[in-house]
Amino acid sequence: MKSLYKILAVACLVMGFAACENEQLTGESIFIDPVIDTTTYTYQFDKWLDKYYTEPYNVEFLYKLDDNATDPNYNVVPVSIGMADTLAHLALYLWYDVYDSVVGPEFLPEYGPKMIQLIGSSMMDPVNNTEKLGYAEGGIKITLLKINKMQLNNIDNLNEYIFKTMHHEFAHILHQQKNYPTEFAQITPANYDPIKWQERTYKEAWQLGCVSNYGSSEAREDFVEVIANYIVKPDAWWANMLKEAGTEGAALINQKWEICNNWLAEKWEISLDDLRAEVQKRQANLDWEMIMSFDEMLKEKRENAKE
Amino acid sequence: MKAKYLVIIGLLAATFAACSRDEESLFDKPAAIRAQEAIDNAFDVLTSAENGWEMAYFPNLEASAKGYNMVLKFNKNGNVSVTAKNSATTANKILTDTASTWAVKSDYGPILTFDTYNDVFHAFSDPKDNGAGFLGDYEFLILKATPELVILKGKKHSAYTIMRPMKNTDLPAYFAACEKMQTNLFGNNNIVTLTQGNEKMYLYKGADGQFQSAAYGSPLVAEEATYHPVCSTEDGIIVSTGFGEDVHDHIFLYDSINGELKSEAGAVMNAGNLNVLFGAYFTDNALGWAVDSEGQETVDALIAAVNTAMNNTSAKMKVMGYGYKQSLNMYEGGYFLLVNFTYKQGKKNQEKKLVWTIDLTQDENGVTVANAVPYDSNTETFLGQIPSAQAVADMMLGSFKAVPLQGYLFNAAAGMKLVGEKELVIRGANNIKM
Repeated sequence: MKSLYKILAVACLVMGFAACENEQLTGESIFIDPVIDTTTYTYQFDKWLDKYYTEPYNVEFLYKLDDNATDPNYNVVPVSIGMADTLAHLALYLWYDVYDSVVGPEFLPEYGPKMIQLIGSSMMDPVNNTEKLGYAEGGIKITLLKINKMQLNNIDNLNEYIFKTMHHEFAHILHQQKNYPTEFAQITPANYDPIKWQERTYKEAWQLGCVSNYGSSEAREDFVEVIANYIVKPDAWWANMLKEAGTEGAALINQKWEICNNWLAEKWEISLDDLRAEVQKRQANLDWEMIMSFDEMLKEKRENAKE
Repeated sequence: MKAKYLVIIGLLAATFAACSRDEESLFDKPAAIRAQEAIDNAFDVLTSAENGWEMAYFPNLEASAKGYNMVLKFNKNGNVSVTAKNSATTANKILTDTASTWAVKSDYGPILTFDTYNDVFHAFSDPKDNGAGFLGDYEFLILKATPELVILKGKKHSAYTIMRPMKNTDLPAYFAACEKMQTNLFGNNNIVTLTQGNEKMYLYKGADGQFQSAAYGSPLVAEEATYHPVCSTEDGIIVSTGFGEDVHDHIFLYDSINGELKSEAGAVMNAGNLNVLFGAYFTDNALGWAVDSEGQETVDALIAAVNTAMNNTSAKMKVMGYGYKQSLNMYEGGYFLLVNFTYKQGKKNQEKKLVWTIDLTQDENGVTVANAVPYDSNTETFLGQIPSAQAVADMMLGSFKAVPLQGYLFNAAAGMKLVGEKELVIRGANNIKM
């Protein structure tokens, strides 16, 4: 009798669970399969991105805009496929391969951003008269803006709006992973103005000990502006800045530069001067035909490295 | 032992209770499956239109908003081609961009996204230098997707966008037809009457791509006006927002026979009671009606009569057929009839202007013009010489009903007919001087 009770009890339990059997979810995902679809219009570009970004650098290159991934306070538009292609080639040449060459090929796959998002327009704030050109989030994602407006034959425009932004945002990614020294923020704490920085001219910012007016908004922006400007701006620009900054301003900027330089060397084993030299060398040679076929050179370089 | 029975009974109860979730579901399928089906349906609908889609695109709901025509072809490989012609973004040239992508994705519902930049399409959502531009969207909630009609709503700026399958494969002809509709319907400042159910209202100022609505019979009060951006199409108009409360008619098709625009739900836009409009045109605009000599059987006879009379005088004038104009005008102090004609005296072309005062009354049932009395000494002198010329003025007298004129049915100011014993074609005019 006891065993009958046991059998009945077990049977009841089995029936109880079996009753829920038809509630099981199907194995099908509601999300689009991440495997690159060979039938799509952008297949060739997607395959290229997979080969030159995702596979070697562990980074997703997002050029098809998802409105949910943008700041809803701003009106923006997507990047054109043509400009996304150009930027992707340019970033390989002036950013990714620079770190491969100067720091080593293992650096970016580990510490580089996991997502690069492109947006066609900038984020304009007409009330405060500011324009956002890029932003970095959580140490893993960089968004580059205003890509549709790249002036490919205007080095100053590219330098200010694209190259500097790349290195600016990447420096954010680095300090979001390893904090920058606290003493940096103590150099010119009274000069930071997060509300009205845009009303300062560059010269005014220099005299306050900051390398740009945006750098004078807050310490973390100042920190990455020192690095980004030093990397992309030519010698004459840097020398002129120190001169125009006056003795006091120049001393403050040099003090900040020392901290940036030491931080990169100690925390990341990166030589700021080597990085700068490599970027400057490459910027001086903006041969678009070469840049757009740079992937082929990389392929060769990687094959040689394997051998 | 009793405890054991209780346990068994309890377990049995639990067993059957476990099935209680098999109650009839509100939906026949799980949410994820339904979401995917909605996406698949929208994809199939959008890619099924053989000639692509006509899009009536309304960037936003701001007071300055207008509607724009675009033609879109969605390809199954995720590529989209967009064509437009307008003065705002394409310098009035037909412009096509075929190098961008689209997708239907899931968010709060199926979303149509134009996720890479298209020169033609994103010209309306590009923030430009002021951070706003035309305030258009590039992601849209798909509210309805059938092979006959797609209704979208901008995700950020909330304006409706309407798409219908293209019938015309000739794009230049399509855009020309849309522009012609625009001109015919909205060429002049005009008052349009909208009737939907028991509700009636006035619509004002179609010329800048918008209706502004006001209570029926009331003049427009700018501060109280609501804005309804309009997009002209080949076969009528599409409005981004419905008129009145709880009315969401977007598409009004043009009925050229009756001079009306009608929505599927039965709302009707027309020029309203033309008898009233006839008089309102004087008072609202301080302008006149020019009487068109074309098609007036009586005109030739009148000219002949005046010529006969003139030939009987010593002046020996000859009225020329062209340049013959009459107009009804209102100036300070009353209504006037002006007759302006050129004539030949000897070898010289001369111009003559005769002016009569008239009595003009009009109500919803008709228009009456009576008592043409010479206004000035010039007219009196002329009539003294040629008494039969009074017939030129008397021709305008009578009781009429104002009816739409074929070809300008909706735009009454551009042309209507006064039909009584005689039939006069009249057109709104503002260049007639006393």
